[in-house]
Amino acid sequence: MPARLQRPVRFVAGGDMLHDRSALDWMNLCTAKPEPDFALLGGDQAYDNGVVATSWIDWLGSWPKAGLAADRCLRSLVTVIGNQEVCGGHNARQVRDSTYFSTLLRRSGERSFCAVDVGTTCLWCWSTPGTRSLWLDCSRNGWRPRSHPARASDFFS
Amino acid sequence: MVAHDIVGLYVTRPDDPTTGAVIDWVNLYPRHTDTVWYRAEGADEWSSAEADHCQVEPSLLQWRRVEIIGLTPDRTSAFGIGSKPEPAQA
Repeated sequence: MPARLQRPVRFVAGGDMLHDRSALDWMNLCTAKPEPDFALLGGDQAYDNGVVATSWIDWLGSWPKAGLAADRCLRSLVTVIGNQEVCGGHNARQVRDSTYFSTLLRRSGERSFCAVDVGTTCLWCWSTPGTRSLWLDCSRNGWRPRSHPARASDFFS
Repeated sequence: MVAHDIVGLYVTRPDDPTTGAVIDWVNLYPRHTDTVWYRAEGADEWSSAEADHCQVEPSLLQWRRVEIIGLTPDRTSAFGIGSKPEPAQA
């Protein structure tokens, strides 16, 4: 990633990914075509519901197709948890019940949100309405994007 | 284990995405190497780093992660897992 936005930065965004493996492979190939700098995947990646490890085997096996298609560069993943990564699925409330997501994509930890600095621009990402209260709670506890504390305060006012 | 016998290989966001990279890989081998070799595109020398490793219980998936820092912004880097890459043949 560039330190300053002296060139266009491209990213692809998606979610609701693993309905079946062939569709996932095709979608991942499509994400590689614009040669993005990173991929923002906003929830329900593997549909494991916190318990189905084999869903992650499919998802992880498919993802390199996106990065290694043309130039053999792996695209960086920015991920936000969805309710289908958590025990209970549609009734899920606790991010900590996401055994596989929380380990394999640990950057999100128990948060249902993240912020990405792209040059001097901050990209905020968060997931389902069911986890929004947790996101706000974390923000009140002092979590802020690294380079834009003033903008974050404005956002939560 | 051979190079392609891997469940997943992916790169996640480091603290500073301009000068760092986080490399994750997943396989089924508890005793597989934890070593990653890396260098900037065009550089001669390889550097190495050791990954953290854990089993993703209750499954048998073996997950490893290493954060590489000190890279050059907006420049491609290469990496390899396991043995130090051989020099390119002339």
